[in-house]
Amino acid sequence: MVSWFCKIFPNVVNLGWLGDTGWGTSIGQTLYMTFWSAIFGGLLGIIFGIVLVLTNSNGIRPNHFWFNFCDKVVSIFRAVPFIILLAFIEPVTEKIVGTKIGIKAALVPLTLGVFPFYARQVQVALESVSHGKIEAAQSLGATIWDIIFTVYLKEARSELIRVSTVTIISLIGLTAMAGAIGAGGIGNTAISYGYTRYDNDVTFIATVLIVIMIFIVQVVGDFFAKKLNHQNR
Amino acid sequence: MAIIELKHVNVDFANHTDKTVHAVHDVNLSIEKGTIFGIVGFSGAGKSTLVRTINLLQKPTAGIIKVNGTEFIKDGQQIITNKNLQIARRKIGMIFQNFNLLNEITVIENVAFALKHSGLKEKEINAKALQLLELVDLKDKANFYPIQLSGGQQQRVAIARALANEPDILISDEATSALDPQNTQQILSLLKKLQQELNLTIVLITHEMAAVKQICDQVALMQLGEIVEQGNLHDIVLRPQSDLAKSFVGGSGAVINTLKSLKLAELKDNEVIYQLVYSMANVTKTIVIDLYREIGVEASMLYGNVELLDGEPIGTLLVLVKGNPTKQEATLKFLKEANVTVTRLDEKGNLYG
Repeated sequence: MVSWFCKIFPNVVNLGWLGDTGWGTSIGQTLYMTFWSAIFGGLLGIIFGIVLVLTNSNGIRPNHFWFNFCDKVVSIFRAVPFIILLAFIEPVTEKIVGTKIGIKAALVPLTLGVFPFYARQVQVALESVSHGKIEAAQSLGATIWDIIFTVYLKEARSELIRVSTVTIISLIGLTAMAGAIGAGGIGNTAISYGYTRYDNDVTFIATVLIVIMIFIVQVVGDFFAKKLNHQNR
Repeated sequence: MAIIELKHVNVDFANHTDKTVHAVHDVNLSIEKGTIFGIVGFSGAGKSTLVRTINLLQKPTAGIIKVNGTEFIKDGQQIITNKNLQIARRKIGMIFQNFNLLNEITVIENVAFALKHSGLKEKEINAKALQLLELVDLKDKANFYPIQLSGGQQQRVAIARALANEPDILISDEATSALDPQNTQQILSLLKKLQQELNLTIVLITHEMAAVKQICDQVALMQLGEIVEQGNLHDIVLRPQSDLAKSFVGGSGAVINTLKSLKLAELKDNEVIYQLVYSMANVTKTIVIDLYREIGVEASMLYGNVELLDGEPIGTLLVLVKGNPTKQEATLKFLKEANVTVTRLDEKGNLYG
């Protein structure tokens, strides 16, 4: 089995497990980038999503200025292609993490690249909470925080998990590009050690690994989205 | 003293086409403490918009709103602070057509949610929530999720939640409209019972006159954003003035359905359909037979019903009277003298003319 694998995928085996070019290293880098940018981008996205819903003209705190501000920020960042964003915000990256290359430097563009996408999806998810439930909470004298946490976030939680799954999947896609600024990861392995060296077996295995990762995220996401759903839709 | 006072209340909505829609127009209402006040009208009449101004879920564009002695709105401006409004709202319970329970938390957590700012400790909140569920007979469902309950049960949870902060007022916005007749009965009886036990003031919006007849003391009829007629239930049912009141008292669901199912051919010139409403206490005569004996018209019965209005039996008859114009006139005179409220309908159950 092992010798068979070495025969068909010689270059894959040559890259090794640990070390600079190793598979374990690149998997770890992808997970690291996905995890931290999901946390930072997720927080930003949730905050923007909530503000968009609350300050919208039919929201519970209509505010033209803040709605427009968040709306424009989200739209602008969404409009910039990620690979260009990587280069474009380099100076900001350096200010925040102290370097413009490497895995830490990739977190800044990844966060900024994913949060507007997530913010829009959070906005849609929260708007799916019926206005009646908000009214009911208001009629009980609930505070704005009660409405955000107990009504919006809790009632939409299944939908939020669903959109988070989609976001994490597209985030894994973005990490593949982060190799362009030396952040490593599986995508980088596929391009640098597979594509540019004409080692197609490396590209193939890298692809399989990414697909497996995405598959796991999807299955786990679907499981919780279903389990935590008590809505009658 | 009136617990809810609305004076010259207007609610305007800006339409997409720059047109202003007057959802509520110059409404004056004064609701006494301890009454069950019905607001009846067809959908789109502005009933929901109007009652939402009571707890300011809907801000009026003009008018005065005073609840429980506190002025919320003066000359169309909110004069209560948002913080105080939050506190005031806890004393105004509200239930909705779609129940509006939170689906991701259990039944008892839904009730406890209302008590979050009551100052009670978590243990006390739980005890009180259970007690409230017992009041609506759902103690055994405390740990269920709303979706596992029937519509009627969900509405009872909503009632428990609305009553959690011991409000003085309960607003019911079409609370029985999504329920089947049996559950409707249950909810209405529960509201009546709670009203008496807790000395609540209930404002009940509905498009079903039957619900109003069953529990209301006072009633206002609404059309196109305006209150067309108001008074105590007994007077409105027995002596409706406006066409709207007549069509509601008269063209009640059962009557219209009866006429529709009969599929009467178009009426001949000498045929007239009347709906007769009368208090049984006043009318001991046998109307249909007397009409034949004294005036000589044939009156065939299409529908008959007796219901209790605050303990007083009220009869409703639908008759098809055959006779020439002179005899028809005599018929009307006879019925009026017999203290019967006569409403002329066409063959489809609508007001005649």
